[in-house]
Amino acid sequence: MIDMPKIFDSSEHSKSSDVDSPRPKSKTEAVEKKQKTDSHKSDEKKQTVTDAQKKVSRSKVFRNEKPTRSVMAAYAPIPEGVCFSTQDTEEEVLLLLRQHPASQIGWVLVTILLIFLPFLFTSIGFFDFLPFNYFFAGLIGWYMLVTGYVLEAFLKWYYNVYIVTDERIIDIDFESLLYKNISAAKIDNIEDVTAQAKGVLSAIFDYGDIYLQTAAEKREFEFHSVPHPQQIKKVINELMLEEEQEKIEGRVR
Amino acid sequence: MQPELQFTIPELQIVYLWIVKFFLISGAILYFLFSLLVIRQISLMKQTLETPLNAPITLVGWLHLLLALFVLLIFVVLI
Repeated sequence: MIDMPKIFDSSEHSKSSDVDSPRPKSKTEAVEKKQKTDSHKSDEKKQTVTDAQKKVSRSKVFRNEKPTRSVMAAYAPIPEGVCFSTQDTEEEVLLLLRQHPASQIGWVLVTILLIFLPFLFTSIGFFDFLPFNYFFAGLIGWYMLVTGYVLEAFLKWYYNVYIVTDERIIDIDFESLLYKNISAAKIDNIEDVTAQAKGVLSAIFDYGDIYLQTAAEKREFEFHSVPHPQQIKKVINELMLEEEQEKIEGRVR
Repeated sequence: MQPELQFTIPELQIVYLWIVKFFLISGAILYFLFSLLVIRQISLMKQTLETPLNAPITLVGWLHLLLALFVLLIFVVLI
């Protein structure tokens, strides 16, 4: 299995196969530092942040993870500086997911083809009938179109994210230029989690789809081509158990 | 030997160049409008998801808009 470059993958699990190993010092330090930073905030908020951190520290998956600083990460546990529009003040982002970079190979290849297409047409003399200034203008226009295509594809990849918080699962979709769709389901509404990897690329680069059956208004959530699907399934299962525990102990928000 | 697509009548050559010019300039105008939409889209995306890369992406969006305007001006002047 090929690991993603560090810029796209902030997971620590590939370095340490034993997820049950003791919590590293750095995590404790990060938690302490965050507590110090938040000391000026209200007592209520302090209590909630501690709850989220407790969940992180109890998680077999998260306790080996460091907060993610990489801004391009496709798998970002505890991402720094990330929040979303419908986030509650007490809610904390535990996992930010984007589609695996290997699943974006389609538009990258198309871009490379589009870059070299004018050279192909010029070499067979297709534009010989045009004066040079017209040819040059056409060439500039063509590369502007390619720039627009790349920008759109990148924005779509970067902002179409799946977020797992300590309370909810959120799916943010930008399907066209000005259309956005935000779906959310509370973790205690999730009934079933399925991880699926299809195809050669998925097997090589360890990415796949996650299907979540919920009892909420939106019955099914799909995370497409996300890195480490088994790991994500484990995280969601842990959070589901945690929510059940909270219900039993009467700590439900 | 002359290429097949060679216009020998000067008037006809002027007409086809005008057609090419029309398509290039209207394409550049449409592209400029598209780059305005991209600015709006980036702003919408920023409001929805806050990340440390938001500021550089906004800058790229504005540079893209300026480039589109520059290309439109080049097309008007150059051809």
